[in-house]
Amino acid sequence: MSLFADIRIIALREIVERSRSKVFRFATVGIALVVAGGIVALSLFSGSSEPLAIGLGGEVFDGLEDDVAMVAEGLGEQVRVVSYPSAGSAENAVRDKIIAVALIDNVTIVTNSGPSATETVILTTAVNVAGRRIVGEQLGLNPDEIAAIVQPVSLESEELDQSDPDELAKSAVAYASGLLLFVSIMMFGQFVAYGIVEEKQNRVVEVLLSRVDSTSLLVGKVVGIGLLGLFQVAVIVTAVVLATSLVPSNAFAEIDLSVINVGIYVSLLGWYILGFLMFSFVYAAFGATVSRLEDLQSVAFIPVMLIMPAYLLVTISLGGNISALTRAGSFFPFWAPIVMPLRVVTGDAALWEVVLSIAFVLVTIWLIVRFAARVYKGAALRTGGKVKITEAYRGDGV
Amino acid sequence: MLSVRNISKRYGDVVALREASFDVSEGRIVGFLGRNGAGKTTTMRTVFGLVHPDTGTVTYRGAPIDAATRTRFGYMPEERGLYLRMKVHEQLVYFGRLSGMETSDASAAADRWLEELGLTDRRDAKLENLSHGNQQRVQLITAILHDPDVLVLDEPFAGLDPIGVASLSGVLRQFAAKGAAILFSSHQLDLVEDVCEDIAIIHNGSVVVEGSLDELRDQAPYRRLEVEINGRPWFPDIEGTVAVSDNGRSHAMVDSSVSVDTLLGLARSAGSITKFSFEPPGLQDLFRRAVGE
Repeated sequence: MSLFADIRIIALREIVERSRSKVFRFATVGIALVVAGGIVALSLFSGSSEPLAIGLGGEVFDGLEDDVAMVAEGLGEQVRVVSYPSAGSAENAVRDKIIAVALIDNVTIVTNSGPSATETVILTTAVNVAGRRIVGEQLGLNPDEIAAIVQPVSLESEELDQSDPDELAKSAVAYASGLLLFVSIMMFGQFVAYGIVEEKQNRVVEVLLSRVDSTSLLVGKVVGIGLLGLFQVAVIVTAVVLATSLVPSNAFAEIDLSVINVGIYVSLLGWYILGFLMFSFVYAAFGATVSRLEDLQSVAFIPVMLIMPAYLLVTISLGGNISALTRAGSFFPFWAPIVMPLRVVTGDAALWEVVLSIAFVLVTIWLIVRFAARVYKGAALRTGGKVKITEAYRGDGV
Repeated sequence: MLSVRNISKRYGDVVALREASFDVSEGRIVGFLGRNGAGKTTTMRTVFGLVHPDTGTVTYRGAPIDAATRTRFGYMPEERGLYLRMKVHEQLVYFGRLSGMETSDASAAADRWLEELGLTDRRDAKLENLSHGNQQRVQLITAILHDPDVLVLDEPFAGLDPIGVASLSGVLRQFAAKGAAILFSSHQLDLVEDVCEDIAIIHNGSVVVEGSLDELRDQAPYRRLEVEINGRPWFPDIEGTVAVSDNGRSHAMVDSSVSVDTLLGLARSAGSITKFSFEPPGLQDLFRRAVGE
């Protein structure tokens, strides 16, 4: 029988048998509900009720503070107005994120990455109101007379943070997909390892290996359990997307996801699946080397350690400043699924680099499968006592 | 014909198999005998590629055994194991499919065998809810579901009650009648004597005795003599005679060149004969001789 037919039959059994278990069903629904509920709760109890902090610095109109508060109230916005003794101190407060926006010398709106429409309207209106009031007081004119001689002014905007907001969005998406991969691996990698050890423990392995080769068996199990894992991740991600779209949340407002095109999402999905597959096989290989479930605990942390440095590389490169170290790391197979997506979304990677990196990952998967299949068969038929990995690999057991 | 030729296998310092050779012909049931650790399981595993011999070959109909050939083989390993939480019928269909059967064929064959072995009412039960004996029956069905041409069963009778033994013997005879080559190992020599036409005895990794059980008995250079004089065991004073004690009963192994008349004469002169039996050796005797006990 062909390799693919065997793999399909084995994968199908994993999917059918596992999806029938109550634990699987409760876990899938439970995690989705908890995550979605958490997002809703977070938005209800924080963020949205926080007043907008506006700072005033440098030479400003007398009483502008009250005008800002009045205008904001008229617009139904809650604000907290803080006066700073100098332009510099107000700018620092913006930079340190103590306040969201500062008005300097009645002319310039200072923000980190551009004022929101609300901020612009409040400050522009308040400056005009204050200006007219003061002109009126000094010249003794009524509002109509003032309107006739004082032209409305508009304000300038100064952004402290010069990095591209699109870059931020792209990095955030790449980081999020990497994080999702990490969490998925943590959750489902162990299932794969358990599934592999299980058959040795319940001794069905010899019945299986007399019919199919160990490679089909391992690949079939990884594909089956992996597809179920992907399904669970999809359910959870859907729950997150639904929950965030249902509630007004400030946290996501800053990131404009529309700057990322569909091709990038497809590439992220591709890297996610590739990474998921590779680490599933890493776990399968560890499962192949131990003969009892208890022994699995002692090796389960290794794949996590393996992937950790990738997060450091991504973190130091957030915002689009890709370092040489990060570039090098994107070719290391175990880090590529996390690091390369960042380079792809920020446009840092050339096509040949992506292709080469994918090739490395595929070769690595192939090597892991070969290694795991050989060790699995070598160790599976030895009962009693631990089997050294080197012995199992050399095939002393077969 | 399944042919094992000169296979050797070492595990470090331990020699598991030493130039072992024997054949299993179509339509024959071969009992594979040997003491614990003699190499029975290792030999059987080589047939399925689970163990690769260091030297020697295993062939079927003259050709090396590949994956395609192996789908026509059935195997029941000594280490029994099935999926405990899977339903009986679904489990059988799964193994049938892994042996290359279509789902519908596997399903029909599973139902047929469940009925034959009296398990129809447990069809949709989880395996873990079956008794030990019934789990054994399911294990047997996984080995024979795809109607194999070669059956290799490692200790298939272990743990079976008399009814189970009878139905397994029936199944083996049924397959032999259809022309399947069958090899099974067992420590229950009486059972082997009952079921098998041929035997192969393995000792320290080598096959020391092989052939038709009847021929081996007839051609043995010794005979089994059991004589009682006045109700007490008696042994003739002839060179080469070995006294054997078996579960409190004693008999002697006598060179086959000694005639019955000679023995009768000697016995009569010793007293009044209350029992006299002189016949070819049983499997028990062949086995003991072969493994040097």
